[in-house]
Amino acid sequence: MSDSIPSAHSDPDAAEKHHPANAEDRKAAAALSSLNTNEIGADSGAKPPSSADQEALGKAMSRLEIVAGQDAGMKPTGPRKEAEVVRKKAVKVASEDISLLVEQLDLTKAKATELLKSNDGDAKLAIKAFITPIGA
Amino acid sequence: MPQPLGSKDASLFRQVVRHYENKQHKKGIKTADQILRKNPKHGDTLAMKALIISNLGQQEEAFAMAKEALRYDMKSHICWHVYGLLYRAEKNYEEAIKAYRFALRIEPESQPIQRDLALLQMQMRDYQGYIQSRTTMLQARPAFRQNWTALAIAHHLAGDLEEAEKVLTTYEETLKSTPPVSDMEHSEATLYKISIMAEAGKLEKALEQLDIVGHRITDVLAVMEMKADYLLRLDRKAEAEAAYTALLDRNPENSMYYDALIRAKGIPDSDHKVLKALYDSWVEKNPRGDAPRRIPLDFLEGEDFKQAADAYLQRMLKKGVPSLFANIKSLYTNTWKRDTVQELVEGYVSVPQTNGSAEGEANGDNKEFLSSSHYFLAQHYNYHLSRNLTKAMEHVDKAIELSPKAVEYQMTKARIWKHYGNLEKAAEEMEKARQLDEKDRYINSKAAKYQLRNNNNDKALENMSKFTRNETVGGAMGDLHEMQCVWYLTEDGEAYLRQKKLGLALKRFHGIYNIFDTWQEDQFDFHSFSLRKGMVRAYVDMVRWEDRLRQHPFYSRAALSAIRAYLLLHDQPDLAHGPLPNGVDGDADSAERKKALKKAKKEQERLEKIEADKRAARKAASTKGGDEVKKEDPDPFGNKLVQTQEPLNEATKFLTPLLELSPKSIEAQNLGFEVYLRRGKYALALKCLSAAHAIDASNPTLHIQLLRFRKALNSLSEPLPPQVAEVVNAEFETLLPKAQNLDEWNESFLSTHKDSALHTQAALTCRQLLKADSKAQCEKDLTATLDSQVESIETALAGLQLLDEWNSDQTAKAAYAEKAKSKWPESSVFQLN
Repeated sequence: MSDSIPSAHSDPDAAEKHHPANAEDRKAAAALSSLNTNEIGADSGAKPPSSADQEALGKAMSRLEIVAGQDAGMKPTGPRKEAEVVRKKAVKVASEDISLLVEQLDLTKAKATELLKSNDGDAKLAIKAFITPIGA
Repeated sequence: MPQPLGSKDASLFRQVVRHYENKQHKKGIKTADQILRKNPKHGDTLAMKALIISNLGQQEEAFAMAKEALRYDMKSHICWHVYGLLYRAEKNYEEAIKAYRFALRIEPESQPIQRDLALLQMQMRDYQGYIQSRTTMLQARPAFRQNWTALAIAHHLAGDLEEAEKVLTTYEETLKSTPPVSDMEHSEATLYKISIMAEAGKLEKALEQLDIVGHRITDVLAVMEMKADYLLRLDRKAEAEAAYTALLDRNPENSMYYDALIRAKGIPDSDHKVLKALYDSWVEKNPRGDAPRRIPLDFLEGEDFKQAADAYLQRMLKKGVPSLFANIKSLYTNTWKRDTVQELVEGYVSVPQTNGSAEGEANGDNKEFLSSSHYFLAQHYNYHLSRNLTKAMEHVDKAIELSPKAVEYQMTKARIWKHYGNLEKAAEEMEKARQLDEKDRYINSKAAKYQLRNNNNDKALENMSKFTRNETVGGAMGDLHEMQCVWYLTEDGEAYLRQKKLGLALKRFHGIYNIFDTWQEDQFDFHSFSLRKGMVRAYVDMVRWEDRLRQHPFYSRAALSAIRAYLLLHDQPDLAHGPLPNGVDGDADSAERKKALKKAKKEQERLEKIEADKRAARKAASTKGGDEVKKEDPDPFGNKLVQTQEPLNEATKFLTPLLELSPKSIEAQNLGFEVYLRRGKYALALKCLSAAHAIDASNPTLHIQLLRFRKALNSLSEPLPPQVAEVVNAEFETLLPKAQNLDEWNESFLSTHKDSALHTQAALTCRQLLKADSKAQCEKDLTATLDSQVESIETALAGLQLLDEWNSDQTAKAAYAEKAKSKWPESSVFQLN
């Protein structure tokens, strides 16, 4: 699915090389930027900051990135990430089990896969877990 | 490949874009065509043309054109952007996100594409993607505060409170001087940060911040409330007491402030004297207030209650406050309080008028006191916890006699008739109330509602049309849709459902479904608007509210009815052609049945023709006037909806959000079972049973469904897949063991709940399912429930419907209806139709 699409968040340095091919494109892009001006969604109303110093902002940006970078490097923070790591422990999921769950439990394929994975790929356990009411 | 244009065409292309911006669509298309004549394979131009066409409402052509444009120029970000915009217009957000990402890959620095992508990610609640987009946007333009706030919101909603706070702090640290007090964005962002701290449990720190910056913040009330709340949660009682006292000085009617103040003062719930003294002190400060007078009635007991209630009631009755009963009735769960109130007010009306309680006052005041007392008693005896309809009618007549012009008195009279089970009379009386004040929208709506309850849809719409803009496309009904008048659509749909006009019923329920879709859609603009305005706290609240939008009772009610309609349609497909006369839809002989069916079809066609004529007439009338013709609904009667081949799948569409967001509703679980059982989804059906069992193990509908599920499992036409069978059998064993003797199980249910009519009805249904030959006896037993157990008209009606479900013959139904009629002689609902 989305694996063929690279991350939209690319390295800013790399982006430098990707300048629009010609002037027309650039102008069109500028024009396109105002495509939605008829909606209230446009940025145009914003005014530049009055008291924020550009330099300070630049420093703040880098600080934020460093902190974020450190965080990401030092510890895979958050219980969600850990849970993901646990789940990714290569649970093998049979495709016929997935289609069984899709058929029997009205699930999307993605959800069925997730459900199976969190139940060690066991269809019976997965069904049982799914139909047990929460809090019962 | 980029396709360079000649300089002349390039300037034309810029014109196309400008025309689009200025909504000069015709000119835009013309200019685009001019370019295309020379460069027929120019992707960007073709894409722009597609965008313009889509704005003119021709979605399909636009899509075809955009695809063609992409074929010519796969590497153009404009083509991909337009493709995304088209998907967005179709609300296919997932595909739109994909297209935007392609566009962004080609043109990573494009601000507008990045912005559009971010908005969509937010709408789809793709928080990880949103964080990424927002980080990129911040890197591109760090000078805008809203970019920082937006990134904080992204982290906050994704659940990372620490990071959110850090982002906000980082920005604050770049400020050299404190922004002026008039800077709303700063004020709101500061409060937002403090609320994030509190959400993370750092109350001390949040409080500290509040003390430092609080005095400079515009939203004074929020600061006071937050401070008071944090103090109380930190157990700093003396300060919390002062904070809540300050809040009460601002607004002495907020009961939550009183509750918090009492907790801050540490007054135990049982110490009524101190509590009363506290409330009294506030009464003294605000002699015109209501809350400090009313709240003590909740906890006072015995003689104290009687005194306080007496003072409260007399004060309000003298003023003639019409909402008094609504304010009092919550006390009635305590029977002693209920009886005391009754005794008190009965006392007021029995005192001879000349020396009434209001001595020395003018006679007019006394009359008002008397009439509002009678009005109060009428409502009192009409209320389900203290019902005595004969007395209610007496009192309301006296009240009307004293002030014949009072709309609400007449309205209550109509309600009494409703409770008598006479909907026709109720609608009539409500119409009288409406005529007392034709300018009053409230009573007009009430009258319409009562007409709908009486299944009189046309009359109701006529009333509604007095307050709608009838020149809207689709007339009054069109305006009610546009104004999202959900209550009316619900009542209208339910009225059609009762008449088994399923097409129209489904039409209304789908109308409500679409309104909820619109509400979901409405948040889109706010993802950027709120940021620009800086109102981020309200925005976060809204996002969270949208996440559970379909929890709303309006949705549940419409969805339940829609599911019922689809189940009916599945069980009796002939209903697609309109209601059939009774006695035919049973097992009547086929010739008669065919005839009725034909007649119903003819009626359907006739109505369609009338509507088509009307539409043609309207069109002819409006050709001159409006150049912007709004689309007419191509299916005003829901005939297309009702002719669906898959009613159960349609029902599932309503069911899924219902089960997801209101899992504690036993009605939803009951109906979920019905849908899933018919669809052969045994695991899901069992899930509903288990959930219902967890809510109320002795629910009568559940009792029947357990038996039906056991029977269904015993007689499967083809075996379930082995894994499903194993789980279902094992799980169901706990609800109704396979070895259980079903007759015994049912009879023991019956004897446990022999005093409850609904449970008896359920047990009789089961007995009848277990032993078909017991039907005659079951019918007799069901009729016998009218002697003692059945207390309400609704339950009695449910019994009558049960006979329908059992396919009982007319004589059994007539016997039941007659008996019910003699028990409720004023009612009009026990008619065999």
